[in-house]
Amino acid sequence: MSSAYQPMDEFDSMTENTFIVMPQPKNDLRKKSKGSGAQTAETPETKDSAYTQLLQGKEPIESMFLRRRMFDAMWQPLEKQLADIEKQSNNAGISEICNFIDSSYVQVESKERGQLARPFAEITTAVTFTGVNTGDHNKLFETLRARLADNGHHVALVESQYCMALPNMLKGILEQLYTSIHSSTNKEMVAVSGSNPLAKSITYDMNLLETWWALLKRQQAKPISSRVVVVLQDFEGFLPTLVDDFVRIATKYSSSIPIVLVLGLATSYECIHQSLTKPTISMLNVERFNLQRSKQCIDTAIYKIFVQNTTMLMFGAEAYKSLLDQFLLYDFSITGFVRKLKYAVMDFFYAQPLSILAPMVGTDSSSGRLSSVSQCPVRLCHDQIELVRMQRSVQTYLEHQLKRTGDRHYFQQAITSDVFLQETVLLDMMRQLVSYRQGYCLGIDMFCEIQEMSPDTLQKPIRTLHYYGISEPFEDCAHWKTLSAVVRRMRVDDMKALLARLDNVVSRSEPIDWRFSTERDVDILELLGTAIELLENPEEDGKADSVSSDEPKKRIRTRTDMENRPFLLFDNKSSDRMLQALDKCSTIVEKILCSCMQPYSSVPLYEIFYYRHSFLLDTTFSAHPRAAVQTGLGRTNYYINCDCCKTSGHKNIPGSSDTDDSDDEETSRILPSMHDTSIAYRLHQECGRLINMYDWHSAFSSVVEKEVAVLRPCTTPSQSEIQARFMRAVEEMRFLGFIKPTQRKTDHVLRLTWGA
Amino acid sequence: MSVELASYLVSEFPGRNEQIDQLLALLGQPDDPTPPGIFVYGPAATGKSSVVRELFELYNPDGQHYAVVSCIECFTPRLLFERTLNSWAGHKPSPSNRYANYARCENLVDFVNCIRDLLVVADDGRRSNDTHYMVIDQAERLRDRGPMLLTSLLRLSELTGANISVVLISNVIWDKFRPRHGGAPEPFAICFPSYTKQQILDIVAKDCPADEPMPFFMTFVDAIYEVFHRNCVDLNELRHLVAMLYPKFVQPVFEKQATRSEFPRLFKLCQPYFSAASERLYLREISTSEWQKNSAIASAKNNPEDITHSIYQMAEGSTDSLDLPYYTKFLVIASYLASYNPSRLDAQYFSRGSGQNGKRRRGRKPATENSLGGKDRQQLLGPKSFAIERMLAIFYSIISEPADSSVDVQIQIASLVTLRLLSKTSSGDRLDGIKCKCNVSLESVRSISRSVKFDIDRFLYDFA
Repeated sequence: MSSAYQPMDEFDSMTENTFIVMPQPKNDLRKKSKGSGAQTAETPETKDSAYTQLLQGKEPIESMFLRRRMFDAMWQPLEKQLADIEKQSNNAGISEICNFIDSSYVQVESKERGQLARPFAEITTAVTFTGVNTGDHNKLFETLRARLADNGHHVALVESQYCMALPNMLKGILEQLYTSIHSSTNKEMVAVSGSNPLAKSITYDMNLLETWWALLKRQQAKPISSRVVVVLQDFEGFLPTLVDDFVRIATKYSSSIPIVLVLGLATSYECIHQSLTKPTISMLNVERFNLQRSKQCIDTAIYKIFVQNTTMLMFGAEAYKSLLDQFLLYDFSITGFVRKLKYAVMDFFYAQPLSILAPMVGTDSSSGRLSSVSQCPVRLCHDQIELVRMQRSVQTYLEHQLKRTGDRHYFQQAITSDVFLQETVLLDMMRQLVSYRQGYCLGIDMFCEIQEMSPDTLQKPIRTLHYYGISEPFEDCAHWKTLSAVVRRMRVDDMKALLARLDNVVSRSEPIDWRFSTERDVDILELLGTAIELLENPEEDGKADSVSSDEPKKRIRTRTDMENRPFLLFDNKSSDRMLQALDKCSTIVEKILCSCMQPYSSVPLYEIFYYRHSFLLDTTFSAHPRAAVQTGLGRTNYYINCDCCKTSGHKNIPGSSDTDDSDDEETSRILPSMHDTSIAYRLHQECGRLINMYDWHSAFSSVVEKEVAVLRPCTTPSQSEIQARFMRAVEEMRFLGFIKPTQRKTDHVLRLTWGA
Repeated sequence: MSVELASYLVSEFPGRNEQIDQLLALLGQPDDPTPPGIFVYGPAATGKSSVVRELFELYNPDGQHYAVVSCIECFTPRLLFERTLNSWAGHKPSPSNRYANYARCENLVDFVNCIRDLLVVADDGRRSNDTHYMVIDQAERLRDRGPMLLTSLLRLSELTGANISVVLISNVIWDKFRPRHGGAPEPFAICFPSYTKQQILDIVAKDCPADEPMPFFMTFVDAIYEVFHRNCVDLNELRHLVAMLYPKFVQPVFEKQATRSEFPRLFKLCQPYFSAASERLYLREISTSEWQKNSAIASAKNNPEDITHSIYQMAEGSTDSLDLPYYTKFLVIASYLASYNPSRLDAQYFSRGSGQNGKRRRGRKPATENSLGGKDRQQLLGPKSFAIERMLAIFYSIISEPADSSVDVQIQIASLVTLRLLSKTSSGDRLDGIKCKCNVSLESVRSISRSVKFDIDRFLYDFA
């Protein structure tokens, strides 16, 4: 409501207002216009985007615009892709429901003989299990409704929040059905009398629906194939008695109107038994459908976006964990996942000055994957180039290049010439980044294949595999160790199958330009080829290097070996040569995997393209209310930033731990200029479980008196004023939940929180 | 006419001849004066509504003199009144009258006036003074619609001066209806008692499929009745079971495994269905269509264990397992513990002190004797309500890694309440000091804790 430079009075009482402090541009317009002349003046783009020029305002304005445009260019396809994935994931379930509804109320001759008439008038009901991520359900049910409407059914979709009583509920249902039914009936029939076809005194009950339906039936010569579908989106939210009554009413009419109920259940079937009465349950003819696919959906999304190089921005291990934790630990919410992702993309282009390098990589038009690398569309300014040089990974890269090739000239040029860096070195580095990403994708695919060959207990979803892949180092990952043990124990046939699968994966993926990778001196194709050949004719291989294989020959069929390969106990057919070949093959597989799954910190420019602000994501999306209040009261400076309360020369930055310790003494000083509640809060921190009100008050007044002494030296502060202020502070503390009155001692209050 | 009617109805509804005679005697000729109130009562599924409905349909085929309204459907008095008037006036909402009802009656005064207009004023000697009937099904709901409604309805003929009789159908006895102010006249009560065994068999005999021999069918029904009648008095439930199980019973006959005379063998072949499915069918854990779709596959030729297995699978459905996010599972476990454990023992169970193990063992010893024998075990009493803070304290002590107290936990608590896994016991306008109850069964909580590898039995007072 108020911006930062308004008088302090507005912030006076924390309990009375909510403040939104809009971000101010770090550099004002004066600085901007100095940078790039008249261009900044008033283009529409500057107006509507909150983007600012980074690098202390030295960033060229075109780069800023580029970042703004790049955000849209990256996010829009991504968003569409995510929406598609979400839609796809529930497609099967929704089609099942549609088929079920299409075939309801159709008399099917049962194959079994001895069928009896059913004693109950039952209503056809589809119970859908939708999972606990209630936030995503709106979208899901909207899709279902659209699909059903396309099939010609009349659908009413109701949510519990609009159905507090039966009249509301029926009104909501009938109004939706009215539009649906009457748009399909003959227009002239509807508009018989005047503009409004419904009288004012109309009562919304099922009788009305029956009339409409009879009308519709009369108009259409052939039997109607459409059904009346009533969808209760969140069954748990409805009052049980309400649904109970509704089912009984609907059942009564199911002989004249083909009504189908769809109940959306977030929890389990038990819920129906808990909330409906026995006679009502007898009326439901239930079929169950499963729609809870949020985990599969997330898996696909992660595979498509993070593994299969479709976006330039990747997530570092920490940030990825934070993204995933929110999903797995708290809510299963796809919407939440997408929101966090969007925030990260936005933050990348908003705050990372080098995000302008992203357009250097083009995507393949057919597969949507990253492929080609081209020149950066804008000329980088000196500061940006300097920033590139300052990245630690770039320095490592240059040193490595120097060591490998010995090309001093290249090194020198990269350090001194801006043009050379942008036109040559940057390009090389980006190529390496892209080829690393391609290799990584291949690695994960092979990882999956190996996992598929292993026992069921070792299966992990792709989201976890990706996490293993990016958390370094890969060789130490426990899951990989178990899997490689599985590979080592494989029989010949299994190994052959595995190698065939891996070969298939490699040939399926697009060719990777290995030239730019410095780390990988292995050729995956060649290695795989050798392994396959080895298995085909192990004897030949043995002869070829019989000189060197004397030593391993002894090792075969020792006791430890038997333990490693239990099948050897029963299988004496495979020769030693074969076993040796197997041994070699497994080593090769391990080598291939490890070379593909290098830690991402080994590639240049990873600091930029692997998003790592997990702290930002956490603080933005999972608020810590108590911590915020405690910081607000205990370290007022973070929020108010006033001059009078500055305890030391420099500002404290929240979350930076190195300043905290040295300033502890300083920040704990209580200054009279602080807010009353803050003073009371700081004083109460020194108390034990019970706080004596009188002591607290005297401490408070001694602090406050100092303030009055400073402001008005000649007057003595009035006792009653101080007492009033103290009482208000105490009340606010009680309201915020720090203290509460106790029965044990009347003049004491109980302290409720401990710790900072 | 009334004799024909009576004989037809008696043949249609076995065992109800007394009630039918009584009703027809009360109705008499169309213009006979009738009692202002007739109260039809009896347990569920004794044919009250069907008999009365069928009787009126035959008694007054043009349908102008009676109105059948259901109290569940007519959830406001207005609907009740307008439906009645629609029927009496022969009015139907249609596009030509813009779907309006015969008249608008917001309250009882309007209703009385409308009746006068319809039945009395228009009656200029030309019309016969026929009785009009208002049949109210599920009449027990009338008690919730204001104190005067029931009284006034029973005095309707007195208020309007027309010949009106109100027929109330309910499964509650009249003593529970009688208004406190005592202004209601006593209606004429007709009791529909529960059917006897012979009556039930007579009724179910009507369900016998045309191509099945009656004695064979009746033997099966008799057996079903003997098995279930102690637990299930509802005639319709019994018919449901017969309809579901009979095809399975005769299946071996068509599959040439047994002949119709080999009853013991047939029952033995049908055994797995009886034992495994009856309860699930009765509770509708397996619905009619699921049963018919899936049981066609199962056959007595198969191994009985396979049948049992497939039936269990049908009930589990493999779909309705409750999948919750990781911390939410712990929240459910914590709230279960808070609901079923006495709060004074929390420190023993959950404190993370140094002497934790010794302390817990010492604390549990006397508790064990107490908790297993006592009648007031919490497991038998149901969940207690607990303060959210206590539940959170348990939550933070049972999760393996420390989690921040972020707003996500609070959101999850709120969503558990909307999912009805927790139910709020404090009033809705109270924002602090919320109290909840855990609404999850022990089996579900066990399976949840198994999925997160948490041994809940160690922490439950009643089992530890």
